[in-house]
Amino acid sequence: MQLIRTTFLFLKPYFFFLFASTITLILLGTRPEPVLLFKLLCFLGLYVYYRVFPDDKAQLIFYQNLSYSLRKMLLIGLIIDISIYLILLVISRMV
Amino acid sequence: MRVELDNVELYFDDKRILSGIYLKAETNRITGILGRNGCGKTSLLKILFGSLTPHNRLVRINNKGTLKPLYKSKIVSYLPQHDVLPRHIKIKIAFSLYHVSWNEFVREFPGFKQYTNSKIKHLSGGEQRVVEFYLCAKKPAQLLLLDEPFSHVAPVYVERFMDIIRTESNTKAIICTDHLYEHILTLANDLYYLQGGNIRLVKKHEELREFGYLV
Repeated sequence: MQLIRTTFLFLKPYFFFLFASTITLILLGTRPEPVLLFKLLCFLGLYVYYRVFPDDKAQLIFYQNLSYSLRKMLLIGLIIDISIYLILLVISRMV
Repeated sequence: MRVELDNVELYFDDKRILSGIYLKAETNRITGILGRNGCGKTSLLKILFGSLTPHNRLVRINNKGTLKPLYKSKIVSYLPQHDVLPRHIKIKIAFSLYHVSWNEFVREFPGFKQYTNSKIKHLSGGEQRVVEFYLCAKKPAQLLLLDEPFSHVAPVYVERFMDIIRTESNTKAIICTDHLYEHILTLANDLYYLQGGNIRLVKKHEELREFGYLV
């Protein structure tokens, strides 16, 4: 539970982009495969971003002090993001 | 608990930063590291924490070698010299994540009571440093790594920090480094001096003059 809570906190600055892109792609009627690929690329981009820019990477220590690695948080984040997408997709098809 | 860092080799490009380093920290003892700017103190703490991977290193915990980064093992707490708290989170959430009591903190630092419902971004740089220090020092852990804990804080806080470090050393092995060397000399049971990529155990404070650290 703490890992999920921490992942939400870690992803909070990016939450608007992730949520807005999910809604937009559903409204555009994009097929699930490209959406899932897009989400995978987003999280891969975040991984590269934190690896390349040491100033932003600095705050990782806050989360590493909780024993969470960047990879673990991004993986959980990706699962949460995809889950939200799938739930919204099902709801949109029911409506 | 006894933590040993051995055989550290660190190069940035072709420049040798650390070579053949051995360092030991034990519960009930405070280990101080002194050295000039750029001598590798911060790198050494990062290597021990696991956020920097050197060319070679061996970490032993209670004489047992470990390969995985220490931060994954839940035994270490690390205060880096830069800001570490995410600015968008509430202070109380940081305390709850780190399992540190906000009420005890406010009792010790009453001036922070006004920030009960504030976010990290509402704190000044010095206040943020106090919160970061307290969180890292009080967090349940067996090894505490402090990188320049006394920098950028008011003298009154420095005294409190030293008291907290002494108290925490009863249950934690502590490694501390700072340019305010007098505080390190006062606190440390074991003192190391880092120079030219090598480390030496300092037995007498006068040796620091011989090494050229003090004039």
